[in-house]
Amino acid sequence: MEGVKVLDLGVGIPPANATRLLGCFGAEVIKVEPSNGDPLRMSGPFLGDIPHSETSGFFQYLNVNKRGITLNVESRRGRRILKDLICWADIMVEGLGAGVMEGLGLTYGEMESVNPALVAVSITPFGQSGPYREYKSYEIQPYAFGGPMYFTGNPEREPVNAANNVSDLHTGLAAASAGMVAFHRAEATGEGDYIDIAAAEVQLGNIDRRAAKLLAYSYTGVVGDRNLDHMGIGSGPFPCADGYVNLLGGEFGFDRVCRLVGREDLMEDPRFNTPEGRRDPANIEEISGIIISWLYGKSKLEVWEMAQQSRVLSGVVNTTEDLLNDDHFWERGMWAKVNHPVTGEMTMPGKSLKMFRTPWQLRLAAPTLGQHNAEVYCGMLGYSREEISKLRQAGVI
Amino acid sequence: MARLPLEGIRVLEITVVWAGPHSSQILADWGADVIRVESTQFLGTTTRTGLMKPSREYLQVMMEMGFGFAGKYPKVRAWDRGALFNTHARNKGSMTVDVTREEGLEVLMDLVSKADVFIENNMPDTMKKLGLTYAELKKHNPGIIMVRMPAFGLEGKYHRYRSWGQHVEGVAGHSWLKGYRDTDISQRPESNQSDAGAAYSAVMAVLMAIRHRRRTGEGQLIEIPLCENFIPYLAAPIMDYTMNGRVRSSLGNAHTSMAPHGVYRCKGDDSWVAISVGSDAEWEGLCRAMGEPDWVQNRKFRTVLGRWQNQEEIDVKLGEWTGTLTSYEVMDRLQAMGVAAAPVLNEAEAHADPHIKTREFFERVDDPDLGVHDHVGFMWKMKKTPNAIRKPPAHLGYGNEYVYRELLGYDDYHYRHLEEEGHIGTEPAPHIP
Repeated sequence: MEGVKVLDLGVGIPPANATRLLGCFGAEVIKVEPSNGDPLRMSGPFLGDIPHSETSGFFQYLNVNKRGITLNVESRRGRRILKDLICWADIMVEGLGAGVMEGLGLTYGEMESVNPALVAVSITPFGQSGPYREYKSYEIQPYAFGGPMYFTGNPEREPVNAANNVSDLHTGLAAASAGMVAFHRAEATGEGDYIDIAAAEVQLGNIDRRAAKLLAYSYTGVVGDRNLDHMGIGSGPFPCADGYVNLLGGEFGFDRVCRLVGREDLMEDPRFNTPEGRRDPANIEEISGIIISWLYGKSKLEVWEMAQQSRVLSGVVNTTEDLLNDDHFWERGMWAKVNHPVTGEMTMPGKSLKMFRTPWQLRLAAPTLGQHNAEVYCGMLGYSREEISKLRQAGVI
Repeated sequence: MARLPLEGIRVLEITVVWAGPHSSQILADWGADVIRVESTQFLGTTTRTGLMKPSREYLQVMMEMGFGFAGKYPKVRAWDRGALFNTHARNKGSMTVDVTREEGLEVLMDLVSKADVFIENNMPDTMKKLGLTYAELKKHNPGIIMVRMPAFGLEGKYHRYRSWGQHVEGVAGHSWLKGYRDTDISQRPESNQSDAGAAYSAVMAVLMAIRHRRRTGEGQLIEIPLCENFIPYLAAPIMDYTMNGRVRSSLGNAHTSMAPHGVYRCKGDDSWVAISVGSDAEWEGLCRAMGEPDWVQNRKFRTVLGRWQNQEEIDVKLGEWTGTLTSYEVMDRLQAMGVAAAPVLNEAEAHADPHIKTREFFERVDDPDLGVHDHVGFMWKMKKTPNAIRKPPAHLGYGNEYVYRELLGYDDYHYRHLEEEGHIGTEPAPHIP
């Protein structure tokens, strides 16, 4: 992405993640923040649990490889500068909310007139049109509304969410790929495009079963149930000596699990070798009991290795501590160490994918608030030092 | 209709289940010519149902799980009718060839020489055994971009380990961090986002690689391990550990800083609403929407911290109020007060929702074999390049004519030979159960 100019107008997780990804593959990213900073700066975890605009690990993770400037877009002067930045950019990503850019006088038509090749990516919870376009929303609402939440959890209880931030980060990644689709065309034709991407629709199209269930409903008119036991008899997670291990039994893996626990006899047992028998809760409980007794005293990594030898689809259930202590991920280069002027060295997730010719790279730690004002305003946009100090006094930057 | 952005890019895929076929679905949706390379000698287990003639009982169980088939109990070609497959197979073509035989491999390599991108998400050893490595593909097409999506990587301690998305998310740390916070982990559900995440990364990386190829002529290998692609989704809890040594566990439907924040029961059968309160103003809005009941006056609920510390008490009271209303009534009343709320939609409600309808998210697709159905639409809208589903889901081998005759230019003799040898066909071979 060398030579590609990206503007991150914020706010929140999705635009930050989309532009981070482009920056990690070489794009030049400028992050624009209000003078009191992207609210993400006050989102934890904080180093030493002390909330401060420069100590959020999550903010630092989401903003590597960016230069940061402050700009008050509420002011007229600020809006003019914003327009200059839009002229500069190849790709602009914003998550300010439906209608906010228009409110600043920056409709897509206006942006297009000053920069016809611009790829503008607007990320919202519900989209730029429709009756809920301006609805208040945090991360969980689009996931509940669009995503797989309804069938996630115990049928006797409330449906349950994914971990915090997972859906927001996912929306950001989807927005990065959407931006690349439009940018591919913009480079070929010189014509930009406007992308209206809604977290709720990313979730409606979520291949992790929601999309299939929505199509199945069109086919059958049947709404699937919420059920914890879909993976079938002999499926984990099961407790072992130092945590949990997840095994796949069911139609696909029951025989393999029986071999793993040294009970080939169960494969022939008439109670367990019919589909009905394998769905009987009493039988499921009996098999789980057999597996759990076999697991007694064994460590999860030891069980995982044995399970793999028996060709059982499986995984350990790691905590963050387990994950950071596993050589596999260190040897693969999963973790990045980033030196930040305020917090010092931080260890964070690094490359999530490998491009062998154009590898993921780390060039810059996350910017401190307004760190690159002089560089960007003077060096790039051509303002003099005096003009900068006037803009500062006027509260524009 | 305007030219779609990815027209002119040809993609081959040998993919299974989710992550692989979803990445090519997105490329196909936006105009790429995507060809599924399949086989009449093997029917992917989860990918294409795995069964020639699934029993009525099997189809019933699948339907109750929400994975029904077109025609409910299809007597023919069940492998073309499952929602699990068809949802990602639209806009693609399907050709068949048995790449485990030399002759089949030659066909595939002919096709590789005419492609831009090759996507696979099989076990690394399976690909090696078939001779389908990047080095091999490159011999036939130096500019090829190969995407490989193993569970744990092409190298490293776990590279041979077999897993599905749910296991991968356990290894990545998600299983520990999601689900009810008051139950044992065995009571935590299996919903995944790792397949979709790897698919989007693949789309992004492919387009970056095409840009690089345009500028340099170089193709490349792209490796997207599901696990490593998902780990960054947990950046905040991971950094809480690396910075502060804290090992987080699941919050259920609660939030690290907001309260109340959760999913509350509503009037009706299995009906729920998700509510979040992120500020004092929103809390006041919530109180007004509930009609200022006495309990909200308690001093301890006045601050963000106080609400967070007493969230369980608020959850019970709030749930009593939502229980008197439908999920849509709760959304309407709270949104009118500026409070974030949305119903937890099941599949029927999602198809009927007025907002989703106004956005024209679902796309009506007419399949000559399956009839007319509403399909899941596109995950974003583009102003200059409006889009619609162009082709119904790829039925097994229906693209053979196009691929063998048009693309590869094989003559009748060659085509018939490959048909007789069981490469070309539209039905699985009789030996498949």
